[in-house]
Amino acid sequence: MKIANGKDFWAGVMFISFGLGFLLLAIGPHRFLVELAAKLFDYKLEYGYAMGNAVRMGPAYFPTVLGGILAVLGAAVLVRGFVSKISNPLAVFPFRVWLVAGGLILGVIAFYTQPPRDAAIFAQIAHALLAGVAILLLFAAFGERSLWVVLFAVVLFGYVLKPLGLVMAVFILTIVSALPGFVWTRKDFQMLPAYAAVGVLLTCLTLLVSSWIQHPVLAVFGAVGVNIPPVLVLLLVEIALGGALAFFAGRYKWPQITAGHVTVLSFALAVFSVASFVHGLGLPMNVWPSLWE
Amino acid sequence: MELFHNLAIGFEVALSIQNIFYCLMGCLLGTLIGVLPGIGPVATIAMLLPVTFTLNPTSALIMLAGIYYGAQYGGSTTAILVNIPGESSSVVTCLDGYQMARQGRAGPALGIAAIGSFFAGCVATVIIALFAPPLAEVALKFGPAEYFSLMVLGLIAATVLAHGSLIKAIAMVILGLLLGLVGTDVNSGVARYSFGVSELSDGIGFVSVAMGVFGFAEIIANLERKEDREIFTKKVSNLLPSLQDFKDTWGSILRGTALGSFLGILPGGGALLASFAAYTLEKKVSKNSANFGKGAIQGVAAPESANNAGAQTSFIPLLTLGIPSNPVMALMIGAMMIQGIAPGPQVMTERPQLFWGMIASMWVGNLMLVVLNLPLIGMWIKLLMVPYRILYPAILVFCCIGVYSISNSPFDVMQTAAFGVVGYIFVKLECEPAPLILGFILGPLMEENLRRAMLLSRGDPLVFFQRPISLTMLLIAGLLLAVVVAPTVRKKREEAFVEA
Repeated sequence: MKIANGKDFWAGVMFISFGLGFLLLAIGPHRFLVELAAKLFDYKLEYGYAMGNAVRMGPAYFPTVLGGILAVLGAAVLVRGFVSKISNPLAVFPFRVWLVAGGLILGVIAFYTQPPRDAAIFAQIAHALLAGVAILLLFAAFGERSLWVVLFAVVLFGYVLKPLGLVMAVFILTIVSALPGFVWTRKDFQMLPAYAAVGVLLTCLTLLVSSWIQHPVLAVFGAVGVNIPPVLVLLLVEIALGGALAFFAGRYKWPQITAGHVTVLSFALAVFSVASFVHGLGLPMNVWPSLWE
Repeated sequence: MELFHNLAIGFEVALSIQNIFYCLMGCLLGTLIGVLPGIGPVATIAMLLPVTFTLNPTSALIMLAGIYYGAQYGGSTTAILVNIPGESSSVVTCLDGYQMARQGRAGPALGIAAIGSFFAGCVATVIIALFAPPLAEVALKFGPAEYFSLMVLGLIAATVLAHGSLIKAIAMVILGLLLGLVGTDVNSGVARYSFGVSELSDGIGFVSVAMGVFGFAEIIANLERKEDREIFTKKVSNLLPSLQDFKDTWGSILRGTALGSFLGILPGGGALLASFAAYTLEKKVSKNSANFGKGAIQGVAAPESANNAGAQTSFIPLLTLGIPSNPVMALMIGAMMIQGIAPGPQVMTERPQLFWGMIASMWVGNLMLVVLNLPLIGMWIKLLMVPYRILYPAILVFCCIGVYSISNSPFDVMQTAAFGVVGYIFVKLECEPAPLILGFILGPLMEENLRRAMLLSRGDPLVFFQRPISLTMLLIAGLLLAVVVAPTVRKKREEAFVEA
């Protein structure tokens, strides 16, 4: 049999594996297997969830039924992949098996070598690096460059936010995630310090303004009954700042900084500040690196 | 009159300074993302969900609703000027709107789209105010069996209207239901599918799924595409359509509004379906159907009125039954749950301020859109010039801060990134993610109602067929499936989506 429609084929495989996965996890291994594992490997296998009956459904009932249906539908899609009149190649999107394997191996190693909380900082960093490489490999196994660079930037953001603080994390996220979109020239790389400077400058201004907004001066408006949300003030300040920068950069042709480059940073920071302010001034994250304290 | 009394409550809420501000924010944001191709209301609302934690429920819902109907306004601008639908619901507006722009009539096209939308918005607001209360009263009589059948109907209808293959869509619904079951089972306290990860015992984060599958996957898919746009900016002048234009289009606007309002109420309906249907109808009804596709102004007026009407009336099933009819409404349910409101018919009686305030705000929002957007069109066009590669890092920053702040842990960010990969795979395998998100939100509800219904009937599954309302809904669901599977309709349906 020849596979006519690769998309249907893989969709079928996906649905079947999801369906069977949910189904088997709900039912759980047979008693015999559990005892065998305990005897031979001294390993405690988990039983599945209670099935119950139609009157009093246990936690396994609904997922078992749904998992079964999903597997059947998946099989139908799979079969259609063989007989379909629409033809698609089997390689639907770039997929690299050896990267998945490498990522999984490193991930397992990282999982079992987790250092205790009071371990030396060096060990912690080494472990974080290992885990990071594993994640990067797993993402890089799929799709084009834009997929894994963007998603890795996102994960990186999640993990550096606590130690490095929001400002640095946002900065890293913007720069890394912008990589696949930009055509980087050598000049761009030379300008990296300038980007960083502008970014930090804008962030400092943002924070300055935000602390000013909390200042009692603005409470006057509140007293008159006009509740001006701090977001609005900050948004306007940000837009004005970003706009002014973009304008001057364009007008005076600052060396290699185009208006577009400045816009990226100021826009990102404007959005960031709006987000942080809508969250209510008490942002639950540290803004500056916690290592400094 | 009860209606006027209720509307008075609503306007009192909607016209408070705070709510006007959030309504304005919602409308502006909605128009913004409507104008920008490559980012839709689903992704935006997903991004803003965490932001709404700290708002009060009414303001939060007013803002989110504003995003949805604001996006319908904005979408038409891009469709007319650039020939790219800013929103999926303005796909058909491209056909005639862009042709009008090429003939130098971009102004009237934009004008009639805005006026049609405004009219439709007003009518839809009244329809919600008129029809929601009686429907909610009916819904109060629903037992678990009726609710279960209603959800089945809603999910089936959503799959029927999804793009592409029907089996895949149903499979996606079931996958969504299963993902929704992850986490602690309410009845037994067993943590299902959590693999000992404590974060998973609360269930998979709704925001993570929505943002990963819609937000991130959309960004990545856009990055793979190449940008090429041709914008008719210079020719936008004289926005007011001529008297002749009004004479030509008032019928289309009325028909579009009526059709859109009706289709919006149906489960699975909403703005997208409404605009397609209105365009088709208009082409059939119109005397100069040969002119369609060559810049007929009716071809802009009808779908634009219809998508706005549909966007608004799709709030009816949400507000009265607590059942989402499309992914945006699923997100609204998510927003309500975050605020601790159980969506359903009791919302109207228990929280009249919220219910009527939201309805009144829709009218206020529509007025704002028309007043603001006609003069602001120049600004939106400027925004279109910002290349995507500059926009998306900013969008990402917003997403990431939002996700992180849900529980202040990297786990959610990680989870969202993983769903980004899953969403990318869905896109590549041509599996529509919209049914998945509906299933995801309905999963726990459906299980709960199934359990209750079966408990009450002592394990007799026939209960779903013995209760008349439940039976009717299951019959409609079956009929829908049968109709779609029927060979002739199947062919037509494929053609319709190919055209899109």
